[in-house]
Amino acid sequence: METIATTTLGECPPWQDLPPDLLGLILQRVPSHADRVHVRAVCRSWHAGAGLQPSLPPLLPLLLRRDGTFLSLPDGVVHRIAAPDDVSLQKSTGDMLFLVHNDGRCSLVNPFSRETAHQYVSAECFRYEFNSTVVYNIRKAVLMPDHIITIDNNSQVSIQSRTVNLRWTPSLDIGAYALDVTLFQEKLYVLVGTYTWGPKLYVMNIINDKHVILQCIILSNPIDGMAPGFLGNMNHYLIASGDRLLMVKQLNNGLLSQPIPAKFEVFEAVDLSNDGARWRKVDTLLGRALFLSQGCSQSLLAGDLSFGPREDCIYFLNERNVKSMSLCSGIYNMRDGTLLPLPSRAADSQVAASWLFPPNT
Amino acid sequence: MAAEDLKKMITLKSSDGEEFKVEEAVAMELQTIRHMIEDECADNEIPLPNVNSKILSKVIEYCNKHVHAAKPVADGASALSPAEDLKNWDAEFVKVDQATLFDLSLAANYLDIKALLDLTCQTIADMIKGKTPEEIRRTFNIKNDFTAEEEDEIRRENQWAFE
Repeated sequence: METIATTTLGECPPWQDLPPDLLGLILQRVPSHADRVHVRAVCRSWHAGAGLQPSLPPLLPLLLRRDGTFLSLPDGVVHRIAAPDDVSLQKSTGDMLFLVHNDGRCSLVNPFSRETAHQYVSAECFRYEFNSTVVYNIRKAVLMPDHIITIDNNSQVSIQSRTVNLRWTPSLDIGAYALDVTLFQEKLYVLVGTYTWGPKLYVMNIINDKHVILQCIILSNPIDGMAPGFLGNMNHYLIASGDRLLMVKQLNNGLLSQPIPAKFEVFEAVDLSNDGARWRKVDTLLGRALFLSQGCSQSLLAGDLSFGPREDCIYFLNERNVKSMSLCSGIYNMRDGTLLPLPSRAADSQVAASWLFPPNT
Repeated sequence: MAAEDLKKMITLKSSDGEEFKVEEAVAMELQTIRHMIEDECADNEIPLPNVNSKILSKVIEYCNKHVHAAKPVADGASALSPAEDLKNWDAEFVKVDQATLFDLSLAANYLDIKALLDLTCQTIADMIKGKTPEEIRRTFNIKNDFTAEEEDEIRRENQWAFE
């Protein structure tokens, strides 16, 4: 669409008439999700023009802080949300928030529109009192169509029906504990650790209420020096990345109680459909970036934007207190092994934060 | 290449009838014109009915600078690299009033000059980032033409960005 460029000197140019393809180029260059939302809210023609754009390049996700506010990267702007007073716990499931209220009720909320999607069953089973404070013992929540899968702080996996008041805990092997759980190609995978063996991969098949089949797929130790037995100063993540299922091992220095992230290793679960499923070390994310946090981990396509996700980079947030607050989170570059802080100082001291992924604006 | 080809000049004619003689290499920065030249369907005079003389002269100034910027300064007088020099020059080039910025971005789009398009769009994006919708409207003197219901709906979809 060509517009005659003949504005008179001193006259205000008709910015609302900016052609859609120019508006699209501008939208690609504003650095935050909030900026993209604001551009669409300026006037009708910009709203329409923005709507005509094919999907925009990816931006960094938001950081959900412990107090329920969102931190935007790289600009460092904090968005405060009017949250219900009675929320005891908020977990990001990716693009939704799993809330546990003080009375044990759970709800699922769209954090961007604040629409409450459903009211679920009780989180009573996760409740415990500690020094007369009520705490809900959930580390991670994964949404499935009919169930919510949770990992509690004792590393036990639970399955909760979304329609009836039913929850059960499948038993893992003796001495085994859930490291992480994720959905991959519509199947549920559980990464299980033991004190004597390397991480094992299970696929979890929910047959019906109360019946689940846990099938161990990868038993063997991965190649490339994963020392069996010592799972001590490491964090493990299981994450779907494009059409690969990846396990990320975070190796820490320092004390167990105060780990300092030093290095990340990435393994792909290959040959999943055959009998010979195994871990294979990989050194590239094939055009993607990983966002890791204990509560929520996802991968995003990397783009050309200087302020967007970078290829072969791992953006991590740690749960446990670390010796130096500035190492709580950071960016690990797989290509050269360097560690950098996240692009905003406000992200430094965010213990127990997790990633939140807005829908592609 | 024969000596005459090096100096081949193209005439660009603005909407208000002014003629600008430019080197062929400079004219080729305008991709729309490059195609015409390469397909040999261009006369030596090319009319540009969508661009006035004021803007066309700015566009030519930009293209001239960028085409000749590759040549290093003979005496190496500048303390900055040629790339930094060019970046600084670009930054000064877009310090113009809004009307000129608007017209330049449209012209860069119409004439298909990628680097100028990137520069103008980045400049506009920098004027937008970090602002609320109301602040953006004030910066660009844009009228809020949403109905109350439409505005409510937009805020509702993304409440978090408006708090």
